[in-house]
Amino acid sequence: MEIKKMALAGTMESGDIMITLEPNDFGGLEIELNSTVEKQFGCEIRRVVGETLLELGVADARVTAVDKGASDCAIRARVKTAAYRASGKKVHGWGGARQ
Amino acid sequence: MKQLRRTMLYVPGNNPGMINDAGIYSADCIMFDLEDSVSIAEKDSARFLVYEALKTLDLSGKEYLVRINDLESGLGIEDLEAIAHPKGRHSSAKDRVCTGYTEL
Repeated sequence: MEIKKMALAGTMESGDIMITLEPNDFGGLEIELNSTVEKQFGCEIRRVVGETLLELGVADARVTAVDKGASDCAIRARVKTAAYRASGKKVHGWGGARQ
Repeated sequence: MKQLRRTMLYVPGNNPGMINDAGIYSADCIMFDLEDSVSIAEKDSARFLVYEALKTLDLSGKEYLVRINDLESGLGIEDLEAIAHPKGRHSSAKDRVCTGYTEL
């Protein structure tokens, strides 16, 4: 998935995370994190953001994350939303959350 | 499964804080709302959030529901595909609902 334009997902409310995705002309993933719990969970948040992007096939992007204590599932959801908005693609094959 | 449905807690589908805390109020049913409580610009975002929450949260012992958008709006079908697993090798949730919908 290619990041074509800047896109944003999430809010600054407590328990949420705001993700901004931009194309990265220099290649690779650059993650800039600003979190209220950075010292405790900074590495974990970066890992979840990076893994979600790799899962979507995003190899080159600049990510700015402003975290207000979001859970892993909220981080994944916001990163996916931002990635699909930035690529202009639609989701195919959801598969369903519940089996 | 016999379960009481005395109380149902409506949770806005685009608010992760409320989704995380929904289980603590001891409601008999919890409904994640993708319709009225989500603005039109945030429908995609809410769909992803509810999808991830349903995959992640411990749903044992409670009844969970998802309130989807109207099928005629074009948003409902995608909501349905996100939350429900299609049964049968060749039928998607979309096919089954469209068939049912035209029969109504």
